Amino acid sequence: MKTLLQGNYAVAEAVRLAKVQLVAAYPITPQTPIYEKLSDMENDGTLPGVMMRTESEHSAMAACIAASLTGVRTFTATASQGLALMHEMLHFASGNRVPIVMCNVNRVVAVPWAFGSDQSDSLSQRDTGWLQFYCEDAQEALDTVIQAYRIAEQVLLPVMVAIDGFFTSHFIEPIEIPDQATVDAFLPAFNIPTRFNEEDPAYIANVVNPEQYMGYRQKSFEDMESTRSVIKEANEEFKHIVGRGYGVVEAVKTDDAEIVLVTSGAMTSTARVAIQSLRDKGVKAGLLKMKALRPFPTKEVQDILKNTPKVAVIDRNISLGKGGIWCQEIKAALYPLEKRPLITGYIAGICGADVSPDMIEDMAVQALEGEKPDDLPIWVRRDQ
Amino acid sequence: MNGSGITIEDIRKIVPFSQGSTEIFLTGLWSSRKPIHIDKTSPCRQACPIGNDIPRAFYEASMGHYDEALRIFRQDNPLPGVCGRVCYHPCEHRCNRKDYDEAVNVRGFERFLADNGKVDIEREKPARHRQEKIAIIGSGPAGLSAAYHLARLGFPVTIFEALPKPGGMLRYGIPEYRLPKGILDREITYIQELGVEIKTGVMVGDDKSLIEIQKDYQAMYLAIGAHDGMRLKLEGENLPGVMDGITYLRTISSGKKVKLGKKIAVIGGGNTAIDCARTARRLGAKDITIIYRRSRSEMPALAEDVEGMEREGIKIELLATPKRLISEKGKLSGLECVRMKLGEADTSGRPRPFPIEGSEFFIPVDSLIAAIGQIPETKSVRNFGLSIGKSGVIQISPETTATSVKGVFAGGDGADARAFVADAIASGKLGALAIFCYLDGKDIKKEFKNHQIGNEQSFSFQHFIDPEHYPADLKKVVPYERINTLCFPHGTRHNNPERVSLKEAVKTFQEVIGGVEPSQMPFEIYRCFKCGTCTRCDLCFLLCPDISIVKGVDKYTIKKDFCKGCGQCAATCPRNVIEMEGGQ
Repeated sequence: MKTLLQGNYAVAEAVRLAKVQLVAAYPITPQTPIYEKLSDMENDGTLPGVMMRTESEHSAMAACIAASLTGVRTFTATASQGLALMHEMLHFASGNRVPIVMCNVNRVVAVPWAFGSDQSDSLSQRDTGWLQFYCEDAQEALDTVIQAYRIAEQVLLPVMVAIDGFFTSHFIEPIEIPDQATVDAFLPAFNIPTRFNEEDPAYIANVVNPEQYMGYRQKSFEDMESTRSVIKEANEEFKHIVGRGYGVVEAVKTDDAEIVLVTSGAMTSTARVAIQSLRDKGVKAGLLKMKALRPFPTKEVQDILKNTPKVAVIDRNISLGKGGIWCQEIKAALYPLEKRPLITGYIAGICGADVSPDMIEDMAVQALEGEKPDDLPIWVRRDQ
Repeated sequence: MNGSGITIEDIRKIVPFSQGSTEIFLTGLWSSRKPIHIDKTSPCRQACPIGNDIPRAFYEASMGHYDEALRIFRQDNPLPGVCGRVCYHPCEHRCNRKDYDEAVNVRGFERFLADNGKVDIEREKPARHRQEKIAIIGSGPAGLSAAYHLARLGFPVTIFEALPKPGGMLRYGIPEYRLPKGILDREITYIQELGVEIKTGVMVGDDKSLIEIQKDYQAMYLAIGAHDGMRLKLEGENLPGVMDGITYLRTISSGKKVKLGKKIAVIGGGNTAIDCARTARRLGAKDITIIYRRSRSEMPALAEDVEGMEREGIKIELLATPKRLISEKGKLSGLECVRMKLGEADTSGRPRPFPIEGSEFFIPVDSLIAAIGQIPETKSVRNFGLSIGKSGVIQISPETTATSVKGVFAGGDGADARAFVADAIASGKLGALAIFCYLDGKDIKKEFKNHQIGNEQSFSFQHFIDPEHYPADLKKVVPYERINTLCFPHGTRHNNPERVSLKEAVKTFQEVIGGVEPSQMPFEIYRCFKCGTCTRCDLCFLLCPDISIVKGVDKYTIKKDFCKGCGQCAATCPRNVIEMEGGQ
């Protein structure tokens, strides 16, 4: 049975089902409904854990880290400025190898002050050592949060699940909420030992020498690499138990495609409509949905695009001085190929600006015609 | 890392984990700029001629230690009950809080302590007794102050006072309604309890010569005051109905009567003039006019006393001066006055008044009191070989207080100190230090410099007695800019209330101004910034990001091995006790 739910509430349901023991958070638009829903659950007794209302996101993350070190499952959610404020603690979390799961509701970062969806907030946390998954819709968000706990706790690395502000967080969709027994069958209870022992006190995050530091970093890097198989296994098991699954990437009609659109997040749903329309018009268009940013699915991307002549990457984010961040990642991933596709980067939908199927079709057609695309991105704006 | 069943040993392999102390990392070595915790002094203290440790007294009082606060005042000032009433409070004019909202009521605080605190004289008695006897001539504020400080240094002191009771101008010049005699008596008693002998009714010169005294005493301090009223030098000044202000006040204070007419004019703008007018008012006169040759802002009297006087119905004729005294049937009948205008500043810094030609006017009067200044009565000491200056004062070296005669020192307004109580007390204090240095063969100039507060006129007696254990650096004065005003809420000043109605006030000599309400005093004590005085507020201790501030019994110390020199403590210290030093 499906329930009508906004994406934020779907995430809250996942937190409940994951039997999270500590939620530490601070409200921020468009994440606030997650915070509110979890508060409601705590109030009516359906949240198995406790809510800790911190005075800032920096403190929320610090609280999650400390709680996780004592051996409990933790969750936080934030957006935009909140994530930016957390930045320092994000490194602490991954460095301390704590399996925190966080939902980031993508929102533009000030200034100017605004609220719409934009991935620049979480993409700029790319190098903090967190796994990052971008979800297309509310159902995927719910399922991904549950999967994230299993992955995080197996590899002792934190996971960030990103959803688009308003498009996913506030739009109401029919959602299938798995029952507790199903989730329990997939997600074992938190069983990582406490790292604090009052009888035998120790210090975490202590000073190390350069060689030791490099050793820890390499170990973390290797463990991040090992997550590739863990993610895959978790997804397969989830598909087996719950009946739904998602890859780190998803290819739609890419095999014979002359142009493949690359998208992430909520925009993917629009792109699905656009490529169907293009196919109906005789244009051989395909779609590559990117879910994982870290670890980056290099091999999967190479396999899908190795025979594609032209690629258009649509980014709802911008790195000043270069271009769209997904586009850079795709280009870097494809560089080792002998035959590389021509890649055009598009910047569209910044701050939640509308990206219609027509606009996506236009981008595909334009990219298909391009013979020698510029390295600079093309800005797609409705008002121009 | 893969799979569940993770053990703590697994975790220790992948994350840094320490059971040792981080203290091996001397992070403080990475910076050269460090905070230092050092008590300083305040602008109010620097401004106080007596050098009262005002911020420390406020600090002790803030902890509820009122007796200790009073004791701090009494380290430098034997007469806090007097100063708490009549001082011209230069401290308040320089109070840092004045730049924030209103100056703290320091004078009211001193009075509060003197009126309510307990004095333990036994505790103040000197540990060491000296043989050298010291004679002091005059028991006014300068003489009492010199006697008190010399007694505290262990010297046997005898004061010779010409008048029947001790106190000098405090008793005979300041009327009861401003300074009740009981307050004065109590503070004089404390001085006597310290061992000072006061011989009253001994007119030096007439009853006992200075040469005689000199034989029995190893040093002498002349604090003879200025008890002769200055003359108007006008025609008709010897008419009946004309007298000088200080004689008038002394006569009244001695319990004698003075017959004044209905219309009274008082010449002058100082406290004596105001006190003459208000005293006359209390004795029944209705029509009293003050005539002053400059404008209101140049009046040397305290503004609050001038206002009090006006409320009592006394008129002021500003920018006017008498030119001639007019008589009728051998009695004073009026004044011919002339209007004045102000010109360039004179040597006193005030604008010089000039008569406006043709502006003469007539004021009918029955009595005239001239309160235009006082000079010492020096005929008694003239035969002693002392140099007397042109203005009639005993000449001294201002830095050493030494007169022209060896072993004889002088101070107070008889030796040209400013004619305010606080300046007289300061003068006596310096005299005590000078006599100590003379007897011990020390250089007074050097000693004064060592114990000087800031770079001004006062020094700390406590610092002089025990510099090793002195809690503050007297040379560092905290300016307003160094106060962290974020730590202090705004708040209005608690003033001393008038405690008798105007109707009552003009009928009696009851004290007009009351003490600050005891229930309000803690708020005024809280208002004081306590500039430069550590109050153990713990802000530095709590805010140090490197846990490098150690709370000691009597002060905070800084762990320089770990302090990274961020300056948080110095920036947040409410009262500039912590400052940064070194590096750049």
